[in-house]
Amino acid sequence: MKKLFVLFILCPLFQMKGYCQDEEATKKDLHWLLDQIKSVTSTAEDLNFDEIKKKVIKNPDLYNLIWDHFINTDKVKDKVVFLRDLNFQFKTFQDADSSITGLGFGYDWNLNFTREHETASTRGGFAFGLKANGNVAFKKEINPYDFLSTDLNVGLYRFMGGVSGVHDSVFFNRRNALRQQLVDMTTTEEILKSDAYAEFVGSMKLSNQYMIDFKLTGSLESNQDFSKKQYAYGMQLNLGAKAWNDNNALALLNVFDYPFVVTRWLTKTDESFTPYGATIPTVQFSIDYVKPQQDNDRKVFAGNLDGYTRFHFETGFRTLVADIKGQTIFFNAGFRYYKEFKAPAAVKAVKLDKFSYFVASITSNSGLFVSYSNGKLPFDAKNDAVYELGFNYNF
Amino acid sequence: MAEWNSNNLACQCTWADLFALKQSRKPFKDSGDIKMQDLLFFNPVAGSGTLENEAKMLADELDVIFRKVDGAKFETGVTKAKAQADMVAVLKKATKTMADLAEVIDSNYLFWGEKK
Repeated sequence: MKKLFVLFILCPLFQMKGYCQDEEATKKDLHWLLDQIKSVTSTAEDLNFDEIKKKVIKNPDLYNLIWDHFINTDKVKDKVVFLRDLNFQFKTFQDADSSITGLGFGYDWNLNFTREHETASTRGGFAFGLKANGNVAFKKEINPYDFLSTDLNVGLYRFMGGVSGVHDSVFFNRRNALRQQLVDMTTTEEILKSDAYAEFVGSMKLSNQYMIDFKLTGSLESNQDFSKKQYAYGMQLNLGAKAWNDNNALALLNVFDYPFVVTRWLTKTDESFTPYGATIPTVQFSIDYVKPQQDNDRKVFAGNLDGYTRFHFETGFRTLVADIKGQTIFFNAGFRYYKEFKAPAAVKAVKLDKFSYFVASITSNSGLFVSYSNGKLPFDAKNDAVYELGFNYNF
Repeated sequence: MAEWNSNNLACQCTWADLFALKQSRKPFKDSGDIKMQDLLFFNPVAGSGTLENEAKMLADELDVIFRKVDGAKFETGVTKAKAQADMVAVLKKATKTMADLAEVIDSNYLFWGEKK
């Protein structure tokens, strides 16, 4: 571990030297590195190797600083293309009873290649993607109970609509002039009531936008030491529709937003009584054939490691409740459903063949929120949260 | 830290078009630090698939507005796929700001009236 630590500190320095031959810049970076190490030790006199090892080796913030300073820069990313799509972060992990802590890392890597074509009103193409994400602790005994996931996908997508009209230089110059007026305005009310804003929005000729995205997917899911592993092959369909102009008929179909049309009107957030077409929910359907390779728990529980088909559906809705005295209040809701087809009797008996999870919350930009949730997620989807709520009152 | 400047056309267009799409209601001077999680599309309780869909639709809409309504073109060597992927990457990060989004947009688009 000591050697790995030293290697980790030295490697970025050698890499940095590879892309920057400036000796002064190299010295500057070395001083920066020493300053960062000193900042996590108490005094300069304590700066010996054992002290560094004790205080630094478990400090994820230091590693993240080093990573950002030496690796996560445009100079390096321009030379190593795949780094552009890699989110990598050192983290501290601890076991369930908090008796052991240790260093590890989380990663999220999305690599996409697209061949696309465009017409006057559509944008579409063929896409190939590679996605990998997970969390790994350097000490096996404190590995988190979530899955590492590596996915390949290939598919077709199409976007339709969004805006209409063809414009010229006179139009673009007028847009720039209107925008400059709006940029100089100091309050929301001033902007919304101005003739400049009415002309600015009117000139956009916003229209309905539609999305259809179909993929074939293949993935490997495992825990951190690969003692549980499964392959999944399937299909995924994503659909979306947005009425960016609230006067379009599609916006009137956004039935989820009607209660909040009332709240916005009552609080004088909006003067009009129309639902937001921008908040029409998108939906995702997927169906996979899952083939467990190694899963002693499932083998004991279900009696075998036969493959099974699973279905997944998810959607979400978020809209503006009110904008009052600088407080922007949102309503958020999410629903996810998972179903295993032809599950073994033992799995059905304990109701592990299907899961549904609904959560709704009211949040504000000041951090206050209230949430309600019902149901549960399958084990391998527990970490599939966009971001975690800090505290909440459960009703 | 990304710069938020009223003389920068990418900052202007990012703010104005997000305002017109109802994603934010703050005036320009207060918008540089607005986080993605405070925009209308960013649902904190939805699954990652939903966030991806919402971000992709918003990125596509911003792209067509920039090019067809604001008169922008792609910078040399930039494709629509790259510009869109870069926007989606920022949009999906809760703590990234509107200034961060504008910075990425500035690197991929040459706006009408912008000097190279």
